[in-house]
Amino acid sequence: MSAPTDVTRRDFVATGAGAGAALLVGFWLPGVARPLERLTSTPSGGSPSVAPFEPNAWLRIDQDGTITFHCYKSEMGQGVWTALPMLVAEELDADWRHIKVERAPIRSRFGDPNTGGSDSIKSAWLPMRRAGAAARLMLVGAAAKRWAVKESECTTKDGEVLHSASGRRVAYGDLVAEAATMPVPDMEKVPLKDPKNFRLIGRATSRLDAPLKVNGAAKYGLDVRVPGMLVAAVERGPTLTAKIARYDESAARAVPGVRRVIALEPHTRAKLPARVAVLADDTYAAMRGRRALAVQWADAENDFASEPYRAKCLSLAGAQEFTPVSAKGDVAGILQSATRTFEATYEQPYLAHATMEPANCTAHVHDGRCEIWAPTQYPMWAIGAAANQAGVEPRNVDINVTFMGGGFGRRINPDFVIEAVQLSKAAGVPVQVVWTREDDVRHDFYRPAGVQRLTAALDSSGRPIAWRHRLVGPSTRAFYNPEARDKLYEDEIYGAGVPYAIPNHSLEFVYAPSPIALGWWRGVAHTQNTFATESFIDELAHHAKADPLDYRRRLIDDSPRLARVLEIAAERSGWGKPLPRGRGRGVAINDYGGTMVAEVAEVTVTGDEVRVDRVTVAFDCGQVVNPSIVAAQVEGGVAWGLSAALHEEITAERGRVRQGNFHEYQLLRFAEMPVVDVHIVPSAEAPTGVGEPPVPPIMPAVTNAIFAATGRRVRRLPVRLSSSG
Amino acid sequence: MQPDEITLTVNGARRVVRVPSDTPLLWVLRDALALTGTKFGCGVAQCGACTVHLDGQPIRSCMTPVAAAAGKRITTIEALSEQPVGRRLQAAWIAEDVPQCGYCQSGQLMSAAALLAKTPRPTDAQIDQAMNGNLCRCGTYQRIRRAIHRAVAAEA
Repeated sequence: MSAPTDVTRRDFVATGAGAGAALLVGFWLPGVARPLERLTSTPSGGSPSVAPFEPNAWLRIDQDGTITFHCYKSEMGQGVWTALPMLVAEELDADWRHIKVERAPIRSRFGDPNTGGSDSIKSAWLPMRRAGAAARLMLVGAAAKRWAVKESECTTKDGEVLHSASGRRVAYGDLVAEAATMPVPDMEKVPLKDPKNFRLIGRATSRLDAPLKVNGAAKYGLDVRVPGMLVAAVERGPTLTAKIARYDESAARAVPGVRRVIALEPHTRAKLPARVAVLADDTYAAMRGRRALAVQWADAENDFASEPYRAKCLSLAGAQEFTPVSAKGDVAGILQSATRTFEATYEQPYLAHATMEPANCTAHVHDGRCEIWAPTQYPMWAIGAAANQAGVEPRNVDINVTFMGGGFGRRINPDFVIEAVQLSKAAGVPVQVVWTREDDVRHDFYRPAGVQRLTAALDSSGRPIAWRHRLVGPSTRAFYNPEARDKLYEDEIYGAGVPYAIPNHSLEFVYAPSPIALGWWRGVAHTQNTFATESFIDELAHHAKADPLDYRRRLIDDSPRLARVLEIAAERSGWGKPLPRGRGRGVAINDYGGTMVAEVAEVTVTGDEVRVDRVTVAFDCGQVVNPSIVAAQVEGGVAWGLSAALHEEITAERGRVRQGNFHEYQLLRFAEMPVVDVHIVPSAEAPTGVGEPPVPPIMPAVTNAIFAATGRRVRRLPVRLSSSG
Repeated sequence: MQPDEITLTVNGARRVVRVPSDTPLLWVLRDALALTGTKFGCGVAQCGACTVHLDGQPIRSCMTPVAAAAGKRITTIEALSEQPVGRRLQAAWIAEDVPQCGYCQSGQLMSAAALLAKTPRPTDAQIDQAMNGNLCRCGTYQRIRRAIHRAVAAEA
């Protein structure tokens, strides 16, 4: 996912201006011997007789040997709660059983807390290892000084410093007072382990949050309980233009437990429509009060509908006017003169995130301060937005980030935070705003819909010599920056490049405005572009009378890592082995920000029914910190993409999103889950992303498999064989 | 509707709540009894995040009026570890690294525990049937299946 664009930057700037806190954004304040700021919200670890050793922001070692890691990224299922402390513990030579994780408060010294774009391990790989290594050097220094020996004679293992010449050993916990007096090493120069000596990194260590997530103890946003808190249920205008015509306040107030009814103006920048909120002592009273409002809306409709929009995009796919994005060689000339040209048009719908935990937030605005408890991926955006809304300085916003019931990009936007702040400010008490599932699906920031037309010319040997890729759809950049006039395609072209050797290549964009709110959805534009390119290359292979996997293998351009994952997926999937009638295999690949993925889907088609039996994934994300978590992310990414390929579609009529609950916005269910066979490719490269890269290839892998099984080419998602040609 | 006094047996303890009798059990558990391990996902029995046991049967607490639970044994995720099968499932869930975001897992575990109570050695088809009402957006289904098999094997 890309960082949000100008809207976010404005909030960041506001944060900096108020608090001198511009350092908060993506800036590493190297390890410091003493906290620069008071630890206002880090829970204390008991009452040790000796002050704990805090070699840097992320680490605290207590006298009893407990090592506390302050996790500065949002845990939304992707595993940072386990993988980040593994980086530290590796270089620290800690005993893993002594590691405890606490959520770090949002403070500049911890580094950028914003979590998205499959970036956490990639960006933490060196800083977190350095944090552990620096702490280890200080502990070794303290032991050497105590024993009056050279530091070079000391080693470390499992949470102890050892001096093998004399047989002496001392636990880290016994060194905390002395270690705190040692000079802090230069973080940029601290030596790191040779990967061949890793003991923890690369091992399938159990998730540290798992015990909390099997007994109901993990606290999510909706589990926050603040004394004196009211719960808000909010009736929302169906569109941003909707105005409140009338509502029955007295009926809502007649519901036992209802305390307040508050009408809210639209907040256009956050894409919050006009609303009427009912605040009550408990959630169900608020929901009953909301129903009793019987709000009537004026100007609640516009003429947008997704079906004519689709038709408009299809017609624009052939328009004369377009914005050139990139061009190599003479695509137009070759397409004009070539004898073998092929064209195909692919269509994809708007998609919702549908995190299992609906949007929610708790806020308390009081005495010039704003306290927030939120399941948010982007605390910095939330702070800026909350400060603006509360009318306080950003430094007076305290944000507590909870566990979150899924993120997938939905919790980047701070709309639910703004809403909680609006309500707490108006009510003067802490307020928890609870969205229903219908609110969540109908008021999301959607993966853009769009149409893609691809045109190619093949030479006499069947190789593509020219390739034109035209994207037609809305613009995420224009959505967040209504003033923007150039590069409207900026967010839409991720993953549009192909990894194949094609001498003439062009990418074009046609802007088709739409009022539907857009956001960052796991896999972002890669999902649309990879569906189009990996479907089209499959079609070209068919026209060239080549095996689709072999065709890709021969065309992969100068990417041995991509070629390797393709080989592994071919071998492990049994590619080429005959299958019974009605079954087929399809392949798709992608290079997602340096992570190489090849997926082979095996499907059974019975009539119009598609069953995905098995998915083989070869995955190279550089060095692997925790193979179990990586495999889980790949399995989950496949499920995420498969759910979209088979079921998901947001449609709109009269400006309103039609789908509400899960009977209308269906997700992949248990019995539909294929066997996902993950092969992680050993690599010495620095780590790259894991959460998003498995998503894009599964969609074309499945439709390519359907073609192999039936000869029917699916060019529109979700797959509906009953209506496709 | 005015509040009624309703007596419940939750995780073995007698609890008296004053709520309207049509209040879904989910909100009584979460808001009145502070048992937040049971989750709100959809409110219409489509996702299973709110699954609890009523006299040992898995039910969707978001669609069950609290009055219908009076006089019956209610078991939530907070007390799952009091059952041997619950403990085996929890251990298997941890061993297989099942939870990702974890939000749906209370419901998944309650559905799995009800399955094993009735069918100690389920087939894959029986697992499919018992678990199909529990959505997981993180896509942990494959690991849930493995964990159920592991919990079965742990009993043997």
